Amino acid sequence: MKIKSLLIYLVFLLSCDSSSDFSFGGNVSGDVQMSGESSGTGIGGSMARFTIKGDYLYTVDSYDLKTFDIKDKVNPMITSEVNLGWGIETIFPYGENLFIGAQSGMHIYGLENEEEPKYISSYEHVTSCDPVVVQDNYAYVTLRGGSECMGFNNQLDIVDISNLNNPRLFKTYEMINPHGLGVDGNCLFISEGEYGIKMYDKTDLDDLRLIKHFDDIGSLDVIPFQGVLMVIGSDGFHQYNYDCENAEMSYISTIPIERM
Amino acid sequence: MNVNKNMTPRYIFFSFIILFFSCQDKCNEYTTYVNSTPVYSNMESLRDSVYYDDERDINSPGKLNYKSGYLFISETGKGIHVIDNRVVSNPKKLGFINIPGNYDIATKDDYLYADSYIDLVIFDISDINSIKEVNRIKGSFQNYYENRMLFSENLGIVTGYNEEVIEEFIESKDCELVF
Repeated sequence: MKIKSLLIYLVFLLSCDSSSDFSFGGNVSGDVQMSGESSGTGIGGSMARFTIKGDYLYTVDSYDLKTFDIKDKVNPMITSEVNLGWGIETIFPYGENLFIGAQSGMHIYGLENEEEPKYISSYEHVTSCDPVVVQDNYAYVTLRGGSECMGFNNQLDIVDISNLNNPRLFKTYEMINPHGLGVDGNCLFISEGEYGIKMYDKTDLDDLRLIKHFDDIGSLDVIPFQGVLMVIGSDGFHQYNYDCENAEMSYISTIPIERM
Repeated sequence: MNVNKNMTPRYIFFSFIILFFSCQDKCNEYTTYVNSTPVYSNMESLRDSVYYDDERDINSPGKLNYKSGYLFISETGKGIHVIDNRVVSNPKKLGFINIPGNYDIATKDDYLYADSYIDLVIFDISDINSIKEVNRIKGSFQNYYENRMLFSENLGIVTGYNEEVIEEFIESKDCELVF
């Protein structure tokens, strides 16, 4: 009897401990495939130019990829500076690689040596603005046209990266005005600027299925995490519950933007 | 011969027309244009203006970073909103880190990394109600600003532009050039 109650107490203790980090209710759907795999590292959106992988902070500006050693977190030390060409926009770490969104395409850099990322290959496309996220053997790249992006295409390119040395276009889907994006499990979220936020079921990459389209908000970038989609848009910060297994998405809350 | 004779009056006629149009009066006019001159800020004074402030309205959001129930949203070029998102149905603005020239954010453990123009700034976020700058790697992103002519050692950083509407009186301007 005593042992039994002790066991129950132990189980209770353990369950409290594991849930203390995040107080999100609801289900934990699928594996979280955002930048920041380890619990201590924060998660950025797809438009990020700063990202942390392990003990290194990687930053991109319009030309350069810089690596900072942050083993001593208070005293970062720059370890390398790599020229990336032109029109560099975003950086996304996945596995042992960095995926860099540029106006000319997507560049892949290897982290065999974490202190000095090494160029592996590029996926070239028409000039446009293009954040990138990655899951398993595929990279998801949105291409957006417009004056500041110097292009005309508005689309999602799914790129097969199973051979990192030779990224190949798998399929293109037309979009309206795509900005940031996110993947989690079978869910793919696309920010459509002033045209709202979309949730796709990407179980079959040959046939993406649009589950939801909330067109009443502005959406520039997203972070999907443990069933909660955090959306930043021109009109505010919005949150939605999502469930990839049951193909559901519902509105939770907003912090509106105050125009000056 | 015959043809030439017929053409002569026509030539004369066209010459007069050309003369008539080319000899217009000179005219006076006012033109207005916007003269924009860069405003430089001393890097040291920008470095001194980093502090943790009360929460404020979000006007121009940029990047997002989420960590353990808290959310950091950049206010493009101005700093970072700190938001308690532990209750997703009721996110609360806690404060604002004033960082001139900030666009990007990364977080790990108790630290937040942010850019402030050419510097990389490190903040201790272990106490979310009292975020403090703990270090700064000066000149980390100098290339970017130098390449864009936005930074000079002597003048500092271009933090804005003074726009002045100038009205100019132009005397005896060729009217043909007036639009």
